[in-house]
Amino acid sequence: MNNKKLSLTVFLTILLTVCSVAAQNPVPANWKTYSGAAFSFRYPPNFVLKIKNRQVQLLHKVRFLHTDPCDASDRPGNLDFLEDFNVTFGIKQLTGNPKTGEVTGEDWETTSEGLIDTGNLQGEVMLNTVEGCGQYVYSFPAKKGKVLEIERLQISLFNPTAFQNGDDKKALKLKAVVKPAEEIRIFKIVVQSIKLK
Amino acid sequence: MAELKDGIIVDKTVTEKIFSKNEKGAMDVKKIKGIVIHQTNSQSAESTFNAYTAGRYNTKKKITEYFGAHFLIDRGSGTYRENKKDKPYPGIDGKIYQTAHVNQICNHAGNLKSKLYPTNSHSIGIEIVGRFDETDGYPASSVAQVESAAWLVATLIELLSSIASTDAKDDHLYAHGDISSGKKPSEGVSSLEQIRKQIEKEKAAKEKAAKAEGITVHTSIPFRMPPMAIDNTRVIIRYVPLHLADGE
Repeated sequence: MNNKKLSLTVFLTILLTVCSVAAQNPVPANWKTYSGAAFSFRYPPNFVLKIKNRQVQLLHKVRFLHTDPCDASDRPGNLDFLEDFNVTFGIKQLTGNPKTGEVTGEDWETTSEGLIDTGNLQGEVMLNTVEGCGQYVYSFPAKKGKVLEIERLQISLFNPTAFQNGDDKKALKLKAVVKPAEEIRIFKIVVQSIKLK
Repeated sequence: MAELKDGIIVDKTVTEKIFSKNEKGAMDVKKIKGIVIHQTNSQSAESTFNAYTAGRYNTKKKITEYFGAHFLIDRGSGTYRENKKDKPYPGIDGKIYQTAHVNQICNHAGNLKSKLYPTNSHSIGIEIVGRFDETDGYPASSVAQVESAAWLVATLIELLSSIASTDAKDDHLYAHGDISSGKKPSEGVSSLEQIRKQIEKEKAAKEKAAKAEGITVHTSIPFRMPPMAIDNTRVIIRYVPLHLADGE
């Protein structure tokens, strides 16, 4: 009887461990590594990394002529490229009384305090948007009273409330495009790979 | 009684919070022909204010561009945090913000399905806070939002005489989803229906009160609803100005 209980316990422990590892989305072996003074993370090899003004931008885009989904003028202009992944990382000083705006736990596990839990970091995510054109802003406590702020642009062409003009359906047929479900999946792996220094 | 002063509605009901980058140049208020009802796809006014402030970087022009409407009506459903130590609060349901001067053009309508609809240069935009759901679409507006929107519409029609004096075959109200060529058709549609019902309700109440007092009083909403006209797809409620309906 005791042996049966022990076997069951061992089995459940292994099962939980396997599930936990699966939930954390392991980083694919071929991904590159960004390593700066304050933090590091992993990212897909076909994504472009730009460093400017102490901010690190991770970008993926495909050539695709389409109407700007955030242009509400009488005659909306065209864009030559579809940016289907656009995330910027930066370390910022916490000011005395920061306005943080709308807090949302969208797409993430949330703690009882309303914070998101990425597995390796706990912090906040806010959505600042109008009609599908905006950005998610994630903030995670870093060292010396600073925060790691991550801005993730909404991919407006795939947002059903922006000016899609039917271009979204054409874009989704492109082989190279990062589709919405893939965008959030990749983003989660990147965030879960962050190591604060 | 609300007043219009330099493009601002002066009334205790309206909170001035101007985003000047959303203003694209002078608009002749005498040429305003309609009011477009939008929904934000956000849960709070602050979310949209932050988006107004941030703008959107245009990768082709390599500049940050801004767009937005003239007014925004909060819902009280957000989780807005003023200070990181504070508990989030939801905002004030039905609170009206004026986010641009009414004598300024705002990019809010976009490319239109028909030339019959008023362009950005001839319309006022009202954003109503409401979060889009993939399954259910845009939510119905709250009671407080509808009451505020009905008041705002009536006030704008009074203050901007150009709207009331244009062709009286419709009520000059449009849902963004109905008129824009690139949008999901549901945006603003149910909210506009709610607003129209509220306008009628308030008008009927005022007429009833006036009748009880035995006096003829023109309501603050200068329209009377004649029999409904029906086209192939949906019921269109049409209004005519009181003086026309009365045959004066």
